[in-house]
Amino acid sequence: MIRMFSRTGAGAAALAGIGVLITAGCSTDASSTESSSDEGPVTLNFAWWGGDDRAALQQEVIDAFEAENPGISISAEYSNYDDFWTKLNTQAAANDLPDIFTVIDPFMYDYIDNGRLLDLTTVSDAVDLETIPENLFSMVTKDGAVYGTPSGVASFGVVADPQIFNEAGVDLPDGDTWTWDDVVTTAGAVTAATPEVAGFVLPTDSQVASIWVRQQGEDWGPVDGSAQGLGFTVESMADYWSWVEDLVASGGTQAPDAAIEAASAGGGIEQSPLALHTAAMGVISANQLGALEEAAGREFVFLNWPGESQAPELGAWAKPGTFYAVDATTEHPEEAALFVDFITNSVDAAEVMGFERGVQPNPEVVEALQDSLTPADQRFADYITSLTAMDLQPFHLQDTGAGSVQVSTFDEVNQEVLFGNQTPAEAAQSLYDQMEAALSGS
Amino acid sequence: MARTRQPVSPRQKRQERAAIAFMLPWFIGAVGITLGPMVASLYLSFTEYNLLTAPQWVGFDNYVAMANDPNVAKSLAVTFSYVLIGTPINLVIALAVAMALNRGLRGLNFYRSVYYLPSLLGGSVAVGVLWRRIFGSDGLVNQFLGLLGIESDTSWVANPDSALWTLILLHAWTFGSAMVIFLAGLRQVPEELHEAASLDGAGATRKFWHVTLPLLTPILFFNLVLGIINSFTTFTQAYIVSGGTGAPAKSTLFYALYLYQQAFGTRHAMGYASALAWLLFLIVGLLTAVNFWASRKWVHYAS
Repeated sequence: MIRMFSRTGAGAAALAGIGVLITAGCSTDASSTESSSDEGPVTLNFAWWGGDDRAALQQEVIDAFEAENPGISISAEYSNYDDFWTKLNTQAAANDLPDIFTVIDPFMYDYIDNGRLLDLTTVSDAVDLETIPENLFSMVTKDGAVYGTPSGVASFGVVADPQIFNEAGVDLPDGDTWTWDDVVTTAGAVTAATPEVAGFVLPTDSQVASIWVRQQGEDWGPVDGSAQGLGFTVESMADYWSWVEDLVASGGTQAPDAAIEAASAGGGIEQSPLALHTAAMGVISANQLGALEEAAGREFVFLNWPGESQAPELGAWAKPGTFYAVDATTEHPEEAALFVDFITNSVDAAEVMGFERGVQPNPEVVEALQDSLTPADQRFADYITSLTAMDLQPFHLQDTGAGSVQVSTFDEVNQEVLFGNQTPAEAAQSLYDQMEAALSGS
Repeated sequence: MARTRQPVSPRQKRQERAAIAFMLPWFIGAVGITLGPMVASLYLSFTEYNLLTAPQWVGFDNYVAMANDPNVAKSLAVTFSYVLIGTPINLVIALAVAMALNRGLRGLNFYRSVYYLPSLLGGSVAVGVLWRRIFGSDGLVNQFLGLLGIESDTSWVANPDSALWTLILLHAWTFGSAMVIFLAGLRQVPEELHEAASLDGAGATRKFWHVTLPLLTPILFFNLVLGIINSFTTFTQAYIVSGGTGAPAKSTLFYALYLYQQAFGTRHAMGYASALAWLLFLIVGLLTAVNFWASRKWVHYAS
């Protein structure tokens, strides 16, 4: 059964709440119905974020699990990313978390630090953790306890539309050697030749900037791994925003207001400029290549991040995007772990989901999938493999407080630069100061 | 006052019970959904509370942090411009349309419903989405400008210079509820006063300023107070139009939106958000008090 979180759902819940209030007031000796937990079917709630396409796949996986485990039924809840966290946080406050749910950094650290997630090593007879390379657990391991299984390895990447380059008569850049300046000149050249097309989608979030600072041997979180303090310098951020200014000045990108409008519309990748053939290059979450190509009706190619061959360090990263976690207070830890095992390790489940949440963490599962992969999934997998083959820097944990404001603060300061309210240096200082003020130690 | 207990008839008793029964839903709502949460939020405003652990008492820390938070000042500035510009425009349009409709028009009910409709829809998600379409870079406004020969691909909702104005316009468009109340007020203006003024040689303008408007001031005052309170708590439109971010460059960072971000955004700082809510409560309360005080100077109640 799918129960979608919506306004009507919330309204119904509120009504139900009032109903409970009234019946609680009226009933005198209502004997609470004892749930027979040892016998009879066990019902578990499973909550994730995502759209309808993902939900359809996920439901198929649930059906397969229920067929294999007649004693357990899974009740599904899904909502979009923002609503998901609003709802999960509220459920956490009410001690009413779903039995199984998806989590992601940095928000999951609050849950781990506050003991809200089940240590999966306590149910390792039900969920097999040995099948997955140990380093994929590093983000959810604390003091020997493991708080989730990775759903898949993902990354962001630059994609280019060869057909647009062809039409513009501009050579596709060489991803192995291109520089940040090449991005600006190439983007400018594409737009100069085809004025309706943006050469490079204007970055409105912090993905590109994170690559930039990592190439300088920095990161949002401190590179000593202590998760205390900030890991980037004002100088690097100022350099990044100077590059953004160059990109805007080249004309090879969208007008800032158009880019902001598109970014805040909350539309999926199907409505992105890349899918609409109004941009030649842009940054995507790599596992969405298949969805992008389907929407655009053409093939894209991955390019390595610019500057990788010149910078002191490699900026690229590949990491588990999402984790499956279990409520620490679930009444059915064994059954919940069985389900986590199924969605993590079962080939049947993987055949349904494909690489929808990233390249599956279990190498045997990936091996078994080889024959059924779509071409786009194959290229996505190749991209991830090429990244993990390089000697990438780890992903450095952020301070919880600074991490919780990094995304939104970056976006705001970035807009100040795009609209010319702040110089790159001012913006860099502003970002640094605001994140420093949010450090959990201060 | 001395209470002499009078015998209560069964009929009175029945009525009393009925009254209580009818008040109960309101009472449950007022206590459970308004008063209870208010008291809780007052307590929470003195705590640090992230939903995952029990609230921790921090005294006035949240209030001190607010004083140093540039976003509080920014969101107050945005909200005040919205209130101070949007509310008067809204009321002027409402009064003008009400006057136009008050001329014994045929099909008044129809027009009244039509003009009231935006008030019902204006706060909805759908209209927020519609606004994005109208004022987007390839939206209706730019297409219309194109017809006039003005090339424009500005995204009015995503440009910091115009984004707030699109929301003020949306606010002005939802003049219906104030209009309905004005219309009811205009019907109370005695016709003989207008006739007497006409006999004295007063034109339409003089009649409006010296007869209609003074008699309408209690209604105007009512609409003003409600309008200001509603504008201060504006949330949905800004949330939808900016995708919940207050973008671009914080130009639509309404106070209620910033409060929501703090409470339900990535920080889930419930204690801080509660403190923000109480500041808003104080500001609105204070403004309303000032309004009532000032009303003695300009509101004429027929005695």
